[in-house]
Amino acid sequence: MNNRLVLSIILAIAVIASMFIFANLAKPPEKNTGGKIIVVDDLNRTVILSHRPRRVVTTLRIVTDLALTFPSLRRALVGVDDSFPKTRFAEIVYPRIKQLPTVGNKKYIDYEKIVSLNPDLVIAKKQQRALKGMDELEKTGIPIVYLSLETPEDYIRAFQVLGNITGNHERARLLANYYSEKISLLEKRLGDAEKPTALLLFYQFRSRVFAVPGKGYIQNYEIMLAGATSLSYSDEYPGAGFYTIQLDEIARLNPDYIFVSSMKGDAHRYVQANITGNPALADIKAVKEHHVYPVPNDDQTWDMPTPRWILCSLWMAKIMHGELLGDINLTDETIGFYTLFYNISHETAYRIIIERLMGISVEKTGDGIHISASRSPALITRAMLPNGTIIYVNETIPYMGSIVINGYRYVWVKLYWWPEEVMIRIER
Amino acid sequence: MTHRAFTATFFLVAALTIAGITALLVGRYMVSPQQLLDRDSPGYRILYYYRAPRVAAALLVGASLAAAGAVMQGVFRNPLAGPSLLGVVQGAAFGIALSLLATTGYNSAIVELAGFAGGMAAVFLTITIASRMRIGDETYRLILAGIAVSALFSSLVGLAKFLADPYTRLPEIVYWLLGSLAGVSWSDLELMAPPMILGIAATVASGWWINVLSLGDEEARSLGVNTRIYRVLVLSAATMGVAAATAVAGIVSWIGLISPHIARIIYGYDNRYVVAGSGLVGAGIVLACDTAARTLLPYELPLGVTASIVSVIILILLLTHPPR
Repeated sequence: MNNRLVLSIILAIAVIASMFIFANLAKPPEKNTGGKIIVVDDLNRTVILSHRPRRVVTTLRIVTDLALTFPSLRRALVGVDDSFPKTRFAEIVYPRIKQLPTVGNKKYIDYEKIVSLNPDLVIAKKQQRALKGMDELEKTGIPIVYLSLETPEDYIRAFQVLGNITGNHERARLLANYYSEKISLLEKRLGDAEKPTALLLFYQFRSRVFAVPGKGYIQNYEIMLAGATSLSYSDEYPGAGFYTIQLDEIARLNPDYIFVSSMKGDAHRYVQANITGNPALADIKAVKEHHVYPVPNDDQTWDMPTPRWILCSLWMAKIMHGELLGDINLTDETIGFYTLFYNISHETAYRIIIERLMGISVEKTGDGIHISASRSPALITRAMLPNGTIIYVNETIPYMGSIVINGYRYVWVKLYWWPEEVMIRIER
Repeated sequence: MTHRAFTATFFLVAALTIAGITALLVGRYMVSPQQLLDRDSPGYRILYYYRAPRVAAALLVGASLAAAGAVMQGVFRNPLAGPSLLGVVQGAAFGIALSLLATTGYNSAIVELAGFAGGMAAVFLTITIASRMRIGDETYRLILAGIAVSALFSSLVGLAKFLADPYTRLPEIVYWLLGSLAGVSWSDLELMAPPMILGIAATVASGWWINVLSLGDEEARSLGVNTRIYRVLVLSAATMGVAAATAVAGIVSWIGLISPHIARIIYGYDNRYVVAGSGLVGAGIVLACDTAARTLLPYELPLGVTASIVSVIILILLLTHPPR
């Protein structure tokens, strides 16, 4: 054996060995002792799991939503909250979720059902500790990990916790890095930009009033990250919680931009009915300059503390500083987010945008294709005929209305609250 | 004890025992007898940690409310009187709502103690206001003061709901106040069972006093009874049980109104038996309603709702088909 060969073998062994060493160094310190997994949750409690969980129960909508971001955790779900599986979004992303037993919601937990499912882990939201019986659930021998999920930092920490639970640190790092990259991008691009004022109004459908998020809520951070001054980030609205706001107060604050959010995905309705069509608010800057927008909602409103909160910042930034983010296509960013976080195909992600976010549906009927818009008016700008010719249409589908088209292959649709046109493929 | 009372009590206790065993075994998860021997089985864990304390709580809450209802009807000589007459339920509800609103974390004991304190404070306020009133006799004053205090605490509960965050605290307050025994644990009972048991025991023991008070102040005084002291003692005992029951289960209406009427059909009008009988009947109704609330539908119904529906049906039946 010549020297070169020996040297090559030694080098190869050294390279492989160093790869293993660095791979292990790069891993976050997994607290794994004797096969046991030790997790520190957001109540700062140490939870010991005897093995990687194979039967997991989630007890709240946003926790179930979060659990879907880790494929192995998704597969391990044996029980979920009773709200998220009812959404079309959940059905599109993970059809099997509809068959899973449900165990409760923010008000009530079916403990008997949970125990009967024999889970080896329950993941709950921190506030659910407040429910009677949660402590007893732990006494039955079922470990519970509580997550806070209120702030951007909470999400980074939640990914680390889920990475620790599933052993998939790589995915945890990937998802956490997504946020770091987008935050860094927005800070870099918008750091020196002139800051307009913005106000997020949350429509409370039970009491039929608007509310603004308290200073401690994530919505203020989203607005500030999007290069604006959040008018509700004020000592007038301290801490966590939503504060009811009267119309005269909105007029006094006089924001440059208003973003309207609603849990039910019908925020655009209140934009017209309560703000732009309201004579009492006709003189405020946002109304005069047509800067009142409904927050996108794919069954979860983007401004709420779910993994989508970063998309809300990107969307707001595109609305307020479109000229500084000209190279960023929000549709592509949204597709990238859904494919990465929910492990779905490009086509499914596009479907969520068209169907859930924009409320546009395409239906074949005897006399052609009905395109309907259920969330806001939609302008059909262009269409491609079967022979490849593009024609300019400029026809509006009214809110909750539809139009019949015949013979088009693609149409391009523009909604006033989405920065780009989106293309819809028509098949007869 | 008369033969009739003895027989009735025997059958009521037997029925309660059967109902209790049935409630322990039925639910969304049916527990088999074999599982009861295996401490690691889900059935054993469900039974020990959830169903057993829940069944015990249902019995105590029902008995407390119903015995207190019998006391109120006897003392105030009003068949429409119920445990909430002096403001105890509304006071307890306000204590619960306030504790949920004021605390960021959660501690079941704090909420229950706040409910108990709120109920006792409301009745203390009622008695204080009644003692300063210058109209009517003492019974009349207590009723009027109770109405005022109930209204005050109802308004304060409304204010607490209005101030609560609609997506965090409000659902908790609403669900708690709707009445439920979901998640009741042994530690809840360690805290609230003593005042409930004390309240039940004291009201049951005070049957003779209630007989005397139900004659009216003049006749009672002519028998050498200090009506004022007797009334305050009897009402305090009833209040203690109701405040603790509300602290554990939330607002469970109608049980205290309907149970004494059923007890009177069974036992007659002697309050020495009616109060205890009412307690047994109330315990049975609450146990049945709670078992129905957690088993009838795929999700749990609030106990306050099922108890009200069942009680109102019983009331209508009593009114349309009066026993001969």
